[in-house]
Amino acid sequence: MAGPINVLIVEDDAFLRCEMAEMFVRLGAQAFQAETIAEAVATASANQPHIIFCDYKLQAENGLDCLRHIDDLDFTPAPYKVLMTGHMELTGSSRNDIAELADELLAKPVPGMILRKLIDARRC
Amino acid sequence: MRAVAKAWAATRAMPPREWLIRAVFVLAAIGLSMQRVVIAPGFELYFGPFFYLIAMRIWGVRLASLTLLCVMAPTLGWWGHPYSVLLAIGQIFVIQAIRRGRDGPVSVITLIYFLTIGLAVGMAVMLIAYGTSIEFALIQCLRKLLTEMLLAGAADMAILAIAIRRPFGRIDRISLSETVSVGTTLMVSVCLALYFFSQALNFSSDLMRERALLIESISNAQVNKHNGAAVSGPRYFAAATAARARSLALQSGQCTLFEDMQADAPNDQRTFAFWDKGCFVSRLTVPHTDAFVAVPVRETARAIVRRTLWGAVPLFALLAATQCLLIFFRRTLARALAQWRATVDRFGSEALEVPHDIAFTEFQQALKAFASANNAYAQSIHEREQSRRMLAKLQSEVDLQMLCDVGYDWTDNILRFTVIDPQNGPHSGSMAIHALDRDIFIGLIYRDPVMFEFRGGTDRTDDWHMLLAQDFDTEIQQWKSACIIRLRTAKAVRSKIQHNSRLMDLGGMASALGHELRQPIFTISLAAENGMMLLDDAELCRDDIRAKFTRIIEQVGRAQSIIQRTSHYSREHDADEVTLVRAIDNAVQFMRPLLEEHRIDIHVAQEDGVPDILVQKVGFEQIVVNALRNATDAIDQMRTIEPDAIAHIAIGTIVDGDDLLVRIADNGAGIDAQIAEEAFDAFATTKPANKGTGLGLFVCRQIIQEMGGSITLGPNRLERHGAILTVRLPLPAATQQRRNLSR
Repeated sequence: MAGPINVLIVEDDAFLRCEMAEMFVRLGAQAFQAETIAEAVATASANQPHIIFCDYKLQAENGLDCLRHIDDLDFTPAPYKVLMTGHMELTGSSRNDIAELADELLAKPVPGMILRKLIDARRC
Repeated sequence: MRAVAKAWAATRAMPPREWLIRAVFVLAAIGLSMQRVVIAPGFELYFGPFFYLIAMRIWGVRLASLTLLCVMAPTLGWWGHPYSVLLAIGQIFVIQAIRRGRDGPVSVITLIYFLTIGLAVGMAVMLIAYGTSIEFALIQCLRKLLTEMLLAGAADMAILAIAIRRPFGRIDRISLSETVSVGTTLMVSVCLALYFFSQALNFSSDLMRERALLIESISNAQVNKHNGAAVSGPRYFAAATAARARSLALQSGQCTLFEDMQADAPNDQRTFAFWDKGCFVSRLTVPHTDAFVAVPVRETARAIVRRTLWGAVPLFALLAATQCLLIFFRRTLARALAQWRATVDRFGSEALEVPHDIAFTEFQQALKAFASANNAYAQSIHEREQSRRMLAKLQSEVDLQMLCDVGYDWTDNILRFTVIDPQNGPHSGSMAIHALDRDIFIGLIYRDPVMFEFRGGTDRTDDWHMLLAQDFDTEIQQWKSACIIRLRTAKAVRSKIQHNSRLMDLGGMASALGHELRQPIFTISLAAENGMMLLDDAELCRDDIRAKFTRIIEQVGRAQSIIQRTSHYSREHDADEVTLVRAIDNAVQFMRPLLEEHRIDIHVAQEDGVPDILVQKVGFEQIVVNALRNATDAIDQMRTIEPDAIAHIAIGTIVDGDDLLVRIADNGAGIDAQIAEEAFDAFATTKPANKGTGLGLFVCRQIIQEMGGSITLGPNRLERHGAILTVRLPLPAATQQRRNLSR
């Protein structure tokens, strides 16, 4: 892949979002942050992301809706979508939606090593 | 002799009535034993055995032996030999050996004795001493057996009759099995005796009929012989005269008795002697011939006796079958009695069961009735014990006063009554009511019956009582009868219930709290990783490192506040008071993760000028938390129909007169008016089985009542659907005064 990897972080917790962005930048990626779905769609449209880290529950929105909107942008190649959640009790229908819209589901707190591997995998 | 002396000594000590009875017995015994009754030819009945057997049963073996010698002595004279006396002695000693001194029927033992020893001895005497045929010996022994059986049975029946009428000597009760044995054996024996009796009566006619056939047969033989034909038939002695024929028979040694002899000779055709050594003497019915024959009786008599014996076989088989049946009956009865005893021995034990394999229905029915009565008794004992324990526990737990004419004086806030004291008589009494319970008392007047808890005294808040009253008289405004129970443990129990309810709230929050804690932990872990990378950076900046640690500390503080909020809520005892606004805020903060998880907006508002009163921190927080939890559940329920509906909860505080109202309204599924009335009862719930305990609102009402307030639930009229929980708290007196002045 030529050039840096574009990473989009969609997270309503500002501290967490900043720390994630800082880590990805240190790993050589270009990190973009969004707090809401609207911000995420706008940022993604402007900077076609290679990988998206999205929180399952945003302040007043749903992370799956965010991924659905980004899918509608029809990026080629499609970005790798990672959904993060702290809610372990997911219903059957939620799991089906996640499987359909996200490439990976990670439980918070996500170890730094996993985040590194995901970035490295996109770099190859 | 010693026995006689002992009997004599006993006799002397007897009352006159006994004297009379024994004298009659002795006279009857001696008088009747002197007689013998020939019930049929060769079939004699004598009464000696009847008396010595009765003596045996009443007075024992010694007096029985003495009686035997007296009553059997005549048989020596009748028959010239001690055969019957010796058998009788053997009989009473065998009875003694089997009975071992215990009283009991003698007829069955007599049957066994004469069927074995009696038969063997009798057969030996008849065959060896008299040289008679086996048929004659057998029928003689069987007749003897039946005679003895009848007499023994009669003795048993006599004893039975005495025993049934009244206690007499040793006979003071009868045995069921032995009575049945005696009765059955006696009946079959009587049948056998009647058979032999009828056969004996018919013996002479049978013999005469056989005699006629025999003479005719010999006459035919003589004719055939005269005609030169072969002759076969019985042996006889023919002669021209009867005397000659007799002489020939006598010379042959086959006959010593002849039927045409004089009556003084022992030629009675009904005796064994005639059957053995007798001869028929008759003129032959051969034409043109004057001949007489002497024919031995023996073969003819043997044939008749044989027929009689064969005819008795079914009856003896019946006797044997009866004895087998009686053995089975006795064993079954013994087993049933053992089961009876085992059951009865368990008297008083609980859940007594009757064995299912008891043979006799009568026993089973009786035992079932016994078991039923026993179980009822055991149950009553158990219940009595339980009542005793409950009473003891009640006495240790409560202080109860029986009252009448109970009235509430709302001006002085005092309950006035008359104490019913069984020891000292009725006397008047009163009890001051805690100020917080005043409104409840006012609301209770006119209600009948009433049962509620209240606090006594003016300063203490833990002096709880329960008033149960009925028959309210509206004219004098008093309950006619009532009781007051001082509750010693109610408060502790209530506190425990409240605490358990809080723990259940926490359980429901576990998932949401988990999520809330994962956020700071994730942030901390990334901050730490970034800090590590900062340290590896060649251009190390202290400010960056400091900012990183600051962030970590902040996030740790965030996690700590979550934990503190949770652990604070779970505390069992917390008497702290906080302002109402603070309590609501704490509860909302505690529930925030859950509300966020369920996408529920919450809005807290306070009317201007609402005084910020102090409330019991844990208690009031618990009420708000419970209301928010119920609202969340109701919203979830609503979303099953409208999945995308926007849900919200509003908490508002206003002043209503002298009260302060806190309203918690939601736009969930709502609540039916009737269910709303019962919602504060213990264990009332509309939630699924694994979701609600039915104690939440019950606990809330208790908490509010302790604060002197009230709580209601109803539909939310401002929304399409939803419910509104209203908490009414009295404003403190000082606040009320200030407000009144400002108006």
